[in-house]
Amino acid sequence: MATVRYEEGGGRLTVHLEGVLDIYAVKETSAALSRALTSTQPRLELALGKVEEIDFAGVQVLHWLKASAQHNGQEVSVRAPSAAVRAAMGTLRLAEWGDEP
Amino acid sequence: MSLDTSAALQTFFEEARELLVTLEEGLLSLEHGENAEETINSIFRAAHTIKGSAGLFGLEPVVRFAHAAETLLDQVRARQVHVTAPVLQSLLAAKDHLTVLLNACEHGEPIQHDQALADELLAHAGQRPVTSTPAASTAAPARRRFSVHAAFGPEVLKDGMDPLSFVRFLESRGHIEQLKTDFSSLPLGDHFEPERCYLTLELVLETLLERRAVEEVFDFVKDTSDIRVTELEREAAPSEPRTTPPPTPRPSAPTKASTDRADHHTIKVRADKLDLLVNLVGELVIAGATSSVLGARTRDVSVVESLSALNQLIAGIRDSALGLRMVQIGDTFSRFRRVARDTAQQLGKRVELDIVGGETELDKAMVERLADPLLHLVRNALGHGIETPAERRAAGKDEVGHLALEAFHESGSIVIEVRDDGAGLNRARIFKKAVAQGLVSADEQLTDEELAQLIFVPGFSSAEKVTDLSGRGVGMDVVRRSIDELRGTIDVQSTEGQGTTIRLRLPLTLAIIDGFLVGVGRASYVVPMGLVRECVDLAPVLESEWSHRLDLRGDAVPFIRLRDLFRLPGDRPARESVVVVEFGEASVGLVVDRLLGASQTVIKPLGPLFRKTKGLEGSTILGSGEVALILDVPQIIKLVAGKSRSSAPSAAA
Repeated sequence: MATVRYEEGGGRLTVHLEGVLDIYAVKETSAALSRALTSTQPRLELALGKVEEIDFAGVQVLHWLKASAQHNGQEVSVRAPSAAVRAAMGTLRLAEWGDEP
Repeated sequence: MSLDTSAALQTFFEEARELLVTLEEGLLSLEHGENAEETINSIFRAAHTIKGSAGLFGLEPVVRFAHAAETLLDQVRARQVHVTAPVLQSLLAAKDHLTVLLNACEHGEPIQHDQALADELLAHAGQRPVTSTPAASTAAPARRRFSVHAAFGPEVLKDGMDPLSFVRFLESRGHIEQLKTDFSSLPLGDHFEPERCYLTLELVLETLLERRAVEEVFDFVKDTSDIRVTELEREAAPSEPRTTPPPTPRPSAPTKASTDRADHHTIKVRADKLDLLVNLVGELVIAGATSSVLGARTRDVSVVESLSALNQLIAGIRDSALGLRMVQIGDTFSRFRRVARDTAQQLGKRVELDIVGGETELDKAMVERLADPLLHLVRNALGHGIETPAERRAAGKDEVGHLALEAFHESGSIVIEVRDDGAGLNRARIFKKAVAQGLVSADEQLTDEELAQLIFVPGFSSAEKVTDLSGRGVGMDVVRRSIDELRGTIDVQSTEGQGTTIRLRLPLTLAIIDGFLVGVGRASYVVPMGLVRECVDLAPVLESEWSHRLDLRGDAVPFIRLRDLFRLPGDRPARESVVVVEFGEASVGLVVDRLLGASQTVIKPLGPLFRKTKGLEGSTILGSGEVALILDVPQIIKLVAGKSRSSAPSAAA
């Protein structure tokens, strides 16, 4: 199960995602994440350091969140993705999910 | 790939080990002349599944080696190769090497690939071994390039498939030159359905696999997805023509089949989730007890009744929650078949291992912690206990020695016996050694039990010849310590010339017990219910303060006042009660002020303050909210027995 926590301030909304983001968790997690897409902050930061496990369904949710936010004109950045996230993204050659400052 | 932390990989290692056990058991039963098709099939499947799953995780060394074993087993299965002793020996060695490889992969240690053994396996299978020089082996087979287009169907994720596994599997079978993750069909915003798959993969794979084999990787999704594999130009084969066909790998792709079978009957649950559940149930038990106490005060019959029903349900939940952690000990026992076989062979002995009561259940944590002590005991029985065929013949016994592992439940404990029909403990030799080591003085008279306990003293070994199996004086003290940690006891019974029985007695679980509540002064104590034999009044006439024994229907039972044991303040009441507890063969009376009745108890660890206090094993919270201490009955019995026989040596202490 994954948990979603928001932190807002300075023109930025930070989404802290923790736990296991797999097929069993994506429905609830994406519902929780959709709040980020209604935010009026110009910047969205995804803090993924505490994602313990992720499967393809989880990867897809992250991609959806990022692409949707970008579509809304938000600037999206990824903070300190965990080893699990990096491994999954690496396997799929999704380099843009690497560690960005 | 930084997958080391992934739970899936961990599961793979666990499963692979289970499969190796199956494999080994199968091989051993083949050795015993059982040649059932089903056995051979199960061995083959085990090797095949390990290879396939290892491939999923990119554990190339495991895949490579398992392939050799699988090739041979395939021939065995097809009755092309007979199971001769050398074939079996190689296969058993292969199992061991796979264990080593898996351990190395799990712990990220350097991998020692045993090419000689792999060649040996292939040689048995009638295949020319792969030349072991790396240059030659990489040059031989032709590498092909395929373009793979995989448009996954929308239901793929819900069906339990993970596109990531497919990519990882292909990675393990070759080199992915290019990979494009196409999410163009993924809708943004509210139209996104998270459990639907929107992925199309385009990749170029360089591999030794044939086209059909690459397609087979996608077998489980081919009906629901659009999969196209096209071969790109084939690279020119190296100068030398191939003499042997390339090994035809049968990739067991992201296997649903293997998990499918198991899933109908079992669900794997992470141990920490289970622990959390057991903890919560523990709290529930306490809360239930509290409610009962409060309910009783209302004197409202309907409330009391409903609480009683509730508490019955809680007891049911408690039992099933604890039951979830229970596993049969048989699997652990079976592992010793191989140990027994190898050890006996090494020592030139003949031994048959009998397993009784393998279906006996106990806590998984306990089973895991028992494996090592049992291993020591089994090895010890084979090393010291059972004699060589010549010695046995001379003693008029059957040349084949018998070693029995037996488990059963007895009065709230589980008992495990390791029994051999060997030479028994050599009293004279043990005594001599103990004297030499200064453990006892030469003129001391020891009972059999006391003598037997000497073998558990650290550094003690009476073996005349030091072998690499036993006789180094390590082992038995480790066994003793492990069993102590599990709140268990060890008994040894031995008859010279006829054999030795080592009996371990352990609590069933480590979490919740049924307790009997007693009061002394203002303090409450819990006695584990399974150990309570009876409660009687302490009749002053029968008691002799000096001997501290009471007359229980003619039996002299030693007793101790908890008031004295824990140095509690206050005066004794006019009437005292005795709770007679028994553990194993010993009984002791615990003298208390009040008997308070049965109560369910969740064991909580003792705070550091109490940890050195003898006779306590934990604390608990009563329904009333008060704290009670749980008595460590085996320890108290030991204390009392020691005191009542003041001349006893303190070697065991």
